[in-house]
Amino acid sequence: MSVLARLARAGAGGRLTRLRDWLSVLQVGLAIAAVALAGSASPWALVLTIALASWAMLRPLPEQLSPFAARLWTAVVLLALVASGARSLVFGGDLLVAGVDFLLLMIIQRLFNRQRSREHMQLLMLGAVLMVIAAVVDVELYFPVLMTVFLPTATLALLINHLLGEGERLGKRVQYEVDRYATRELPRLGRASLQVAAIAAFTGLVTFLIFPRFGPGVFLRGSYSEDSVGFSEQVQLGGFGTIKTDARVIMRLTALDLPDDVEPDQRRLTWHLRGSAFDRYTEGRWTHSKGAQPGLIRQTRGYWLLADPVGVDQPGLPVGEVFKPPHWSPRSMVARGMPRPPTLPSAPKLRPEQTLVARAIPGFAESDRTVRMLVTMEDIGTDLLFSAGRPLAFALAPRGPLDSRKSLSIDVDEQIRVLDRLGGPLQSEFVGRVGEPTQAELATLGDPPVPPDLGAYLQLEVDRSPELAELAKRVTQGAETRVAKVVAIRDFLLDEYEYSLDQPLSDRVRSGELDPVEGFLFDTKAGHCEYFATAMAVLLREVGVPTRNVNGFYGAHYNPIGEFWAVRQADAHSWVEVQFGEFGWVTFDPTPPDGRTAGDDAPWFPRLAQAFDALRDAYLEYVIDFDLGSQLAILEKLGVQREGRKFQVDWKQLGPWLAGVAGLGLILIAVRRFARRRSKAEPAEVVIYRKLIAALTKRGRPKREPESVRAWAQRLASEGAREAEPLIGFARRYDALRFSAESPTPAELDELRQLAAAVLATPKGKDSSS
Amino acid sequence: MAEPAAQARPRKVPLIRRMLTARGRSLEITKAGWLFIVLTLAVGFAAINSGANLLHVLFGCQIGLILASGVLSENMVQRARVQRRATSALHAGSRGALAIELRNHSPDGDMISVSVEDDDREQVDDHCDPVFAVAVTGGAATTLHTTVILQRRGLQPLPKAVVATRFPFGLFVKRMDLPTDERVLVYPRIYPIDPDVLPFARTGEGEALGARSRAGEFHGLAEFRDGEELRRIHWPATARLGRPVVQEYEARGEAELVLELAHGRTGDEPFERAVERVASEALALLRAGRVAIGLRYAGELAIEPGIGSGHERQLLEFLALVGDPVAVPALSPEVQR
Repeated sequence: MSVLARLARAGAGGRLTRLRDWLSVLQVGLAIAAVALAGSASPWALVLTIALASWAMLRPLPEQLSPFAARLWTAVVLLALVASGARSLVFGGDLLVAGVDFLLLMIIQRLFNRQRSREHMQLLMLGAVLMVIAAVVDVELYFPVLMTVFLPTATLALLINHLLGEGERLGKRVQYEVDRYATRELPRLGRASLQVAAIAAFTGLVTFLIFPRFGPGVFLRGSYSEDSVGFSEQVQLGGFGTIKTDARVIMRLTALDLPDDVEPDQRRLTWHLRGSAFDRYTEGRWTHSKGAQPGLIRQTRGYWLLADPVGVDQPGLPVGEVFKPPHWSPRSMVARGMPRPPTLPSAPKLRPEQTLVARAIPGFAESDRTVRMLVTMEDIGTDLLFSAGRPLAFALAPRGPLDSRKSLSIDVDEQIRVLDRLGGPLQSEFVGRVGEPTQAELATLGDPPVPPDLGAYLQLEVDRSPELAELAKRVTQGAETRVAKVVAIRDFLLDEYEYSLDQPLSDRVRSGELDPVEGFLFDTKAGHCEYFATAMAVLLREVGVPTRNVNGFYGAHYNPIGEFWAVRQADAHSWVEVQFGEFGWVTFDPTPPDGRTAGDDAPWFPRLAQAFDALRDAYLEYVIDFDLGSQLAILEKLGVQREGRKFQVDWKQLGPWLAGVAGLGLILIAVRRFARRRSKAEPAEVVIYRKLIAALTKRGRPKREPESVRAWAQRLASEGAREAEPLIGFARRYDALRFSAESPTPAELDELRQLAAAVLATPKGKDSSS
Repeated sequence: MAEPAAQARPRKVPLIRRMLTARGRSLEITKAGWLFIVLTLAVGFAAINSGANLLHVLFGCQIGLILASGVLSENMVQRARVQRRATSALHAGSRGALAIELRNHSPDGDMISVSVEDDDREQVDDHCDPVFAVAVTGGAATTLHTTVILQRRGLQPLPKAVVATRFPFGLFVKRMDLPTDERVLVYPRIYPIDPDVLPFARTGEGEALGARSRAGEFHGLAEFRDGEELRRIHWPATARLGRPVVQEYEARGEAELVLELAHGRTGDEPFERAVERVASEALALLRAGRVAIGLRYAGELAIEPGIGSGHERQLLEFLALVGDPVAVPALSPEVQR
């Protein structure tokens, strides 16, 4: 029995009505799942919907809605409408979530009153609206999966609902016939709906590929999640969760230009991906002060290029020189008619993929060692961009005209922010200096005096414990240079303290006697990266070293399937940067190495997780980020070139494609004809008969060559075989159908199949009564 | 035609449906269809405006569903071949049985969700109940049974009908006109009469008191007529004469009655009432089985007195067509004047 037939038998009422109920619930359920997974419905509304929908499906459905119930439902819906309006407009709730919650209520109302086809049609429309909402806010892989199931389900639901609607329209007699005949024709109806769904999917695909993307982009794409995923712009000691166990990938790095010593498929990268930085520490919290160092950034050939932060009133020197436009420029910008940034004619000898040459810093050998990466970053509730090492330049990959209007700004402490950040994943490019000065190079600076504009980086809490200063002095005793102090404190923390995610708090911290970092240093001596970084910063400031706290991610894991490096939520990390004069800010990480990063793989089914990450990356790249540039690129490959507003066709290039499509079409037509001829060559009743012969032959009841089906049945009867009696029934029906003037109807064939099944359902062996 | 067909009054059809009507086919958008179109346009607008790829996919899917609806519904009505025939006696104003053979003209494709129903663009008193076929396989036919009500007697066309389908989703209704050359003979309207209350029921009146009967003394041989019982055939005489003949017996005690119908024309209200009265009386008396009934029209004997179902049909056929000079070629010129 097919799935559809089983569904038609489950529950009360007419069989087709039952099937329609199940299909309506299924399609609405899929649509609700889509909006729920996109985070566009309140959890309480979802729970309520599931509970009430279950009740609506399980309770006996009254034949007609009573006037009292109708009035009650109207009142409930009106009340919910007012409440939803107030929730979003007065109480500042999310309009989208309030709207979706209201639609969920409408679904419940329709499920409770689903007597006629009209209500089912409304359920289908509500399901479609929810899928549209999910398409707007959802960029995850589960949307296409849900859509793949939703489309044929909704199509079949529409078809069945249409048939029952015809019954309602044409009267009881037709209603009865529809239920009787349509239930028999379920396989045929199932095939028809699959065909229609295939047509719809095909047109959807064609529209996706060829419909030009030229919208001004009033609607937003993707959801803007308020949830932090490990990384946070706020640092509060003790507030750090157990994110180290979360393997969700939130950033994908694709190499554009790697340093010579990094392999393109290196299993693990060990760079610090810098995001936010803080200068002020008070009561266990890192924030920004007014004295934090401002930054400078300017647009150059498609890049936003940073300049050295040398002072508020002084223009800083650019950190390098851009010679080529960023990676995405030819596709996205030029496709929209934007001028392509020119390549600098006086470019020095660059690596093929190198676009920027970092300004050389005297005495710093690796100052020009840079990396260029394409970053696809999930919506993690921040407008910050991340860069490996010292950030030098950034570029955004606009997905539409509105996206292209986005610009970058630099916040204090070299934090790069996206202005007018839209929801959903963001693609950007960075060039970072991953070369670091050696200790010997840093030592050449000695222990320089701290300029006044860096005073904020020496700030300490007023009521700090005197033990803190004593500890800092003790640890750095004998250190002559700044780097010696830094290394001494870093090594002290590495050696003497233990990495822990348990966030132990000492009694003195609980009572308020000590600051959390003091509790870490003197009492618990165990903590996670934020404790280590804060402790190092505070201790360095105690000995006069300008330091700041930095948050971001540490390292990345190579995904060989998707050929990118994945940064997971568990890689969120905290460290410090120390100021070294003209060398700038230098990264130091006091956290023990085993605490800096989670394992390279997801804890469960790592290979599967890699495949999923790769698939999701491909989905984002080829589906979500498919744009006019991609369309034009496809056209170019086909031989259609765009020149201004005109298109020029290269028939030599396009011809083979057209011939290929025509050939494929001809092959499909030929295959279809062949299949039809083949199916016509042997009538359906003969196919059933042949299958029965084969099955009975396996059971040791073969048909002899000249025997007719009747003779076969009679012989088996004379042999006392149990199969004989049902076979006689089959033979009678088979002969009637096979030699009838008209071809058998599907119902007759179904009956013949059942007779054949009855033959095979008999127990093997001889009839004991014979 | 004995009586002109009921005058068809055009019904007001929405402008869009009128615009979408051509070559015997029409397309109507249902309420659900309008809703779906509005939703599709909204998604299309959002897709174009936002450039969101998933909305483009949904928009394409919805357009695909609309296109598939149009193509499939057109296929369904194109494949349909319809033949209608009456399977019972039809009396004006009463329900009669109608068989509708719905054949799938296409050898391969299925014909799903097709109905045959009255053309709703015309408001007529004649009415045929709709029939609906869930599926008819390629090349196959199905016979559907329904009822028809025709308001006027005579040789009448069946109500104007269409093959309609809302397949696959009920968003659009595609209709195809059926040919209107199918005619059926409609007997006069009959109303119930108690034969006992008729004054001449027992006494009888007329020329032939010795009426023929199925029993009693042998009366003679008569030619076999359609509807007569086969067991009454006199086989030796049939073999001798080379044509079927039946034995007739003289009824004992029953009377003969010749009913009178004054001359009139089809469509005249008093004449129509008179035809209905004569038909009702004749049927009541014949079905009571005690009087042989004949009919004199315009002073001349049009139908000789007789009994039995064949005679009943002969009477009704005459009364169905009487008054229409075009449709009664069988009647004598005197009777037709």
